Amino acid sequence: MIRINQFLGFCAVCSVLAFGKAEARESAAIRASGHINIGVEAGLPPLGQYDVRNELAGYDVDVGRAIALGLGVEPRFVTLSSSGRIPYLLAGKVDIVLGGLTRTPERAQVIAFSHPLYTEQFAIIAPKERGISSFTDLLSGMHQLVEVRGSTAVAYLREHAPEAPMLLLDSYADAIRALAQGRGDAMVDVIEYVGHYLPVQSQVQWTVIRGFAPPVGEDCIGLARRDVTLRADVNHVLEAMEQDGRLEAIYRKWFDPGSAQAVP
Amino acid sequence: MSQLNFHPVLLRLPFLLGGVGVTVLIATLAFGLGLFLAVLLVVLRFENKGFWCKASRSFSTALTNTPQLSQIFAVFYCLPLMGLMVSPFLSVVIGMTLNAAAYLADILGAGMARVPPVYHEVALTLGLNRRQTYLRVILPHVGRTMFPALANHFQIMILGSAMASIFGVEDLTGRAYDIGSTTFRILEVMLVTGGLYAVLSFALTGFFVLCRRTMERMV
Repeated sequence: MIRINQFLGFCAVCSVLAFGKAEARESAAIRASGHINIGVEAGLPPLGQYDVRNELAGYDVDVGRAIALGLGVEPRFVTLSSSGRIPYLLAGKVDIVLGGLTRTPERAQVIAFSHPLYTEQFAIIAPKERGISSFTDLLSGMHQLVEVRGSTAVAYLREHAPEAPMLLLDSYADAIRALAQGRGDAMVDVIEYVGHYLPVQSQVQWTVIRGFAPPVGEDCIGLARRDVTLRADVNHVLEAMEQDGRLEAIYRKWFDPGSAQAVP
Repeated sequence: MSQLNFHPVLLRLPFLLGGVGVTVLIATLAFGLGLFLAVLLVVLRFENKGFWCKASRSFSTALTNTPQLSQIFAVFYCLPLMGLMVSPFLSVVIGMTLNAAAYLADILGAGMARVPPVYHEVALTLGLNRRQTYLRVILPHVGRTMFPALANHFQIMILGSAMASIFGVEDLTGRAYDIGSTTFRILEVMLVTGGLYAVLSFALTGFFVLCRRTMERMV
């Protein structure tokens, strides 16, 4: 399961460090090899998922392909979990990583970020019978939250709702299932991701509360800090995609255009 | 290895050490309850040749041939479907208990098979009933002869309890992942956590050696 991914990531970090090459590949090395390793989450629709032909599809996959095309190399996708995104990048297991990677000051201390791809905002997702009507309800610590380990929402809640007890699980599918079964009262996360899991638990009447979190997160592509050239190349490709409308087209293809705001 | 920075992890060491207690508690509870269940299972096998013997063997076969992770997963997510809401901690303890019972029943069964028939005859001659024979003669003998295997299984359970973190339990591994996800120093925190598991394992080895020596002196 997810732990296996994390374990492999950990092994990768160990082995790479042991041999003294603990960094993602340089831009020149990527071009010389003819391929780029792109980290995506396969269980996070619409960013990444397996389609009916059991092939990876989603916003991140399309963006990854476009980046590879712009760099003139073949894309090779590596699936990982939320908590494995940064370790994989630090271990050189992937050259760039997507998977809804929100830019935060803490993360910026260890990795670099591309220009933003799009913006996101938190929402409260709760079964209706829990009676949660605002973010203030969560501040008392009376409501159990179910969250995904390694997500930005956990850090946000620890700062803004420190009293709220949290059950940390490893995937959005597990978290929504646990919430639907009554293991928690609410979840705070990006509705554009979590919303795809709600119809699976159709026996529950869901309440979605938006607009309580003023800071708007920017999702970016994560890169190794020291690789300035690759960052410039990726940003250059993104700028070209933005200018010719491809970035917006990919966004509209996978997201509901009215539910979130694309970065101009 | 100059890229390693243990400082952020060491700052959170008290939080991480708190997970050691949870890990030991989970493994101890599951081992103790599992051992109790295993004794019942193994007595059923030796005292009954019919349905209960087959049921006991089927239980062990089913649980030793499926991953412990699947068993805990079933307890964690399937019990609520039947209206039984069990906490993550208890779900892990129940799953590990059932798994331990299956393995420990096989270990105890192997020990019981090696009990000389004369023990039963002597107990009968002394006027002990079946219950007294098991409690005062057979099980103590099995416990002594199979002690290394039982101690070994407990250590496996200590290390295997790491999967509790998948179900949101804040054991040693769960806390390590929490620290890793906030500091991004996953390698450093895993090295420290691995060290803590090793220390725990060595300490248990020493404890079991002492127990063994004490038991030998008592015989």
